[in-house]
Amino acid sequence: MQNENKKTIDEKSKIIAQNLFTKSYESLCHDNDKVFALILILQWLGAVIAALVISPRTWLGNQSFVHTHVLFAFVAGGILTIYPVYRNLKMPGAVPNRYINVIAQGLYSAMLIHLTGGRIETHFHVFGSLAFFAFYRDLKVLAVGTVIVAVDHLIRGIWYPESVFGVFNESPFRWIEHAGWVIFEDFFLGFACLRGLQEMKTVAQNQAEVTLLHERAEEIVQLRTSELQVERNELKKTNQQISTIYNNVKSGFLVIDKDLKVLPGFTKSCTDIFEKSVEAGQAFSSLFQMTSRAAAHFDGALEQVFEDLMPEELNVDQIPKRVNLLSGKVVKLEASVIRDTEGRLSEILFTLTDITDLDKTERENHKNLSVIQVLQHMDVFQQFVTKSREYLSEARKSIASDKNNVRTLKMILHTLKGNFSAFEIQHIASLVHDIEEKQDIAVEDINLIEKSLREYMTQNRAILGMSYDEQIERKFHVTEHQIDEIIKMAQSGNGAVSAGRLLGWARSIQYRTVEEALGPIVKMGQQMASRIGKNVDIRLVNSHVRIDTKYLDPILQNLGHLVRNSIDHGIESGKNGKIEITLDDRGPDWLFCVADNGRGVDINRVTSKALQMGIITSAALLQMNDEQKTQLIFEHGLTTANNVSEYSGRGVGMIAVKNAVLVLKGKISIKTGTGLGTQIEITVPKVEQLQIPVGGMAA
Amino acid sequence: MSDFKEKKLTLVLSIVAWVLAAVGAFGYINYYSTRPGAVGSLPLANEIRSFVHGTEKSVVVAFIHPKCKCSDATVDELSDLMSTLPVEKKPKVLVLFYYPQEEAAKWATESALYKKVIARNDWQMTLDQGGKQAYAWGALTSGHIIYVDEQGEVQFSGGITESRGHRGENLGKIDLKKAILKLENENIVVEKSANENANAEVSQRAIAAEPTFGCAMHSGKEFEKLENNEKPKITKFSDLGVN
Repeated sequence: MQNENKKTIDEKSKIIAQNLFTKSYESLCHDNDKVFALILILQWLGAVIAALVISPRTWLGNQSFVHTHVLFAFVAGGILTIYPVYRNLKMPGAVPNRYINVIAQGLYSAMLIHLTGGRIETHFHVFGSLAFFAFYRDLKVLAVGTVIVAVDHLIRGIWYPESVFGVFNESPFRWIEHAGWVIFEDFFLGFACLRGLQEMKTVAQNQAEVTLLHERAEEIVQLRTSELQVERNELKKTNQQISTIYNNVKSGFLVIDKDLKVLPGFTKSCTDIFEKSVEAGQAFSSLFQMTSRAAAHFDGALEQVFEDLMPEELNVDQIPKRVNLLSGKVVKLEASVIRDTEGRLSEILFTLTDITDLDKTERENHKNLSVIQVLQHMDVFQQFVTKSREYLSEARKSIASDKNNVRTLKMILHTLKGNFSAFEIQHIASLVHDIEEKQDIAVEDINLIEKSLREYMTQNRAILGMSYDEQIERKFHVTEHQIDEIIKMAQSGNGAVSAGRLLGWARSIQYRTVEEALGPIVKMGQQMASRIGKNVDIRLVNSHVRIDTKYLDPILQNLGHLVRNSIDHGIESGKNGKIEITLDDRGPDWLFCVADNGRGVDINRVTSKALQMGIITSAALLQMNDEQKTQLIFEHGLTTANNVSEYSGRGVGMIAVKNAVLVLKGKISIKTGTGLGTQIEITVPKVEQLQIPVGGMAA
Repeated sequence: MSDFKEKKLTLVLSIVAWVLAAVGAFGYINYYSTRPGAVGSLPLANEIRSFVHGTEKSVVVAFIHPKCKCSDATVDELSDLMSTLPVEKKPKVLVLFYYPQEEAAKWATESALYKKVIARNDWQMTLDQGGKQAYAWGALTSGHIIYVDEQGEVQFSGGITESRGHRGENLGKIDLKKAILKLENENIVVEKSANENANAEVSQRAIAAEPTFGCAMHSGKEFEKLENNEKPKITKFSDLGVN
């Protein structure tokens, strides 16, 4: 197929080349004829002038007449000129013209030789004329011209040899020598003719190929143009579709540059989301109507992305995922970096989504989840509510008292916050966190907390079955079998034994399993870890053991601090964190142990912080052993955290735990070290407890 | 006949007619160029002998119409011939310039041909008013050359150009040269004297003679009317006032 195409192209090329050559040659002959017309006219003129100059008049004695040569030049010149010139001008390029021109030119040579009286120089006209004949690049024309010259020489050679050869011809074949010189010139002229023709053919061939290429290129261009037009139309259509989608998509797409300015090309929905006009060149953070501090923090996060010094994911993660607008809208931000062809970060694409409804739903879900959480641990929650009333009352007293014990207040608020978080009541936990931040905490702040809790319980009263102000009594679940057992015991008649057994049974009902008591804390820890993006597995060991939650309530209330500290400061991001909460029966004591596999506490930092805070002196530090140094962790306000989070970092949680342990006359110790994890052990003596068999009394 | 054939025939006929016209024109000019001029009778032998008496050299006598362009070629050819001769054999050259009887001498002396010849110091020139001398010598056509040897014998009479105004080697020039050099010449033809009844000795020796191509100096008719004794006679060389 390709060969056939090639053959077709070659044939076409040859045809075009032939046509071009023919046209070119015709044009050449056309021009040559015109040139010869001019030459002949000029020669005619020249011949007449020559005759007038050389032999103007002939004489007979004292009378003169126009010389016959003049008449000859005029008449013969006219004959030799008029007819060829007529043909050259009327039908230039016609084939006979070139031969007629040759004949005329040859005879002109003879005429001029005659008119100049046989001057040898006039013979050069012959050789010059031969060169003129070569203009036609036609060997036949050259041949005819040569024949004319040869015949002229032959005739003259026979009858007037002296006029041709300059000397009396002693050899009748002298004309051959002259013809030979003509042929010598013909050789070069002929070669030039052939060369010229070949060049014309080559040029024609090249031109044909160029023409074909040009045609082909034209075809290809037209084809490509059509294809491009189709593609353009398709693209236009697609662009229109994209534009339609772009302008109707709910999410806002917006790109910012290194100057943190909005670039042109954002979607229309951006205006809807921000409920104001968005302009290219505007500062991105100005769209959110943040406080100057928040805007600076926001811009800082963006600048960090553009600096591109840390991994992209880490940088992007610094950008807030949600922003609450003043209008009440909640906007979700998803950032994607855009890099140029050289890999340099040039822009950030933001996808903005109005998640106000979603946020509301999430809050609602969260509230519902918290209600579920509460329902799942109702007894504990009831205790918490009771305890919270006490904590809040204590806090009021602390504020109102002259001493204004800030430490106690902080501990109370920190504990409350932790417990609210444990029950997923995040909005009250956040409220408490905000109040914690304040320099001067007023009674009104405490009242606000109480009010929030009261409202929460009022809103969910139908589900919870209780209100804030109710004196909640714990309810116990008793089976029919257990009632039968009680009746049997009462009827057994052995008062002391029955009383003892009854007491034990009552105690067992009062007790809760570790699972029931600490379940909220485990749940709280798991959710906290998820929120801050850490992978933590929290386990309860010996979770089936039943404990007197009323007695151990101080410990249980504050264990949450330990879990939060482990997650927030101990467990490192990107690692598989583990926290084990263990309850061991050590005979007369309970042993609580909270252990994690985190980074551990750097004791040197603890001592430095203690020195910095003035808790100890350098001298005292020198006297301390490792255990004593470790105990500094429990000092109020001492924290090695770089910043305070909503979960920890104030240096309050540990002292709260220690105080709770001391209330029950227990002991607390800590084993930790850099890279070794942390293990906190709390030993609490059992009080007036009967050993309860596993599972309690048979149900 | 088809249109093509008609056109072809027209073309052929037109070319043939053209060629014939050209050939005709060339034929005529050829005829004109090769048509010799008129020639008269040579003088009597004794007149010729007395002409050269005292010169001690042979003499080439040229008769020139000063305004004849064709004779320019004759002068050139004669000059060319003279240049090829050895010094000891060079004859004297006497050029007689015609001018009409009724005209002044400047009619001849102001011509280019006269000035050309006078520039030559080795030739003798004289004016021939009315062409009497030319007639006496029988030179009726400009460019006629007569060579008289030391003994007073005419060895050559005629033209030394191939045709009118045509330069180049020619038989006349060759014959003249041979005559001057006294070489054998197979081209000699017998020149019969026009005056066969003259009582003076007439040389019947064969002399070289070629046709002369040039303008006619005069028809000679005005002299023919005269009686013999009134007809012009040749003047002696020594009486021409030349060296």
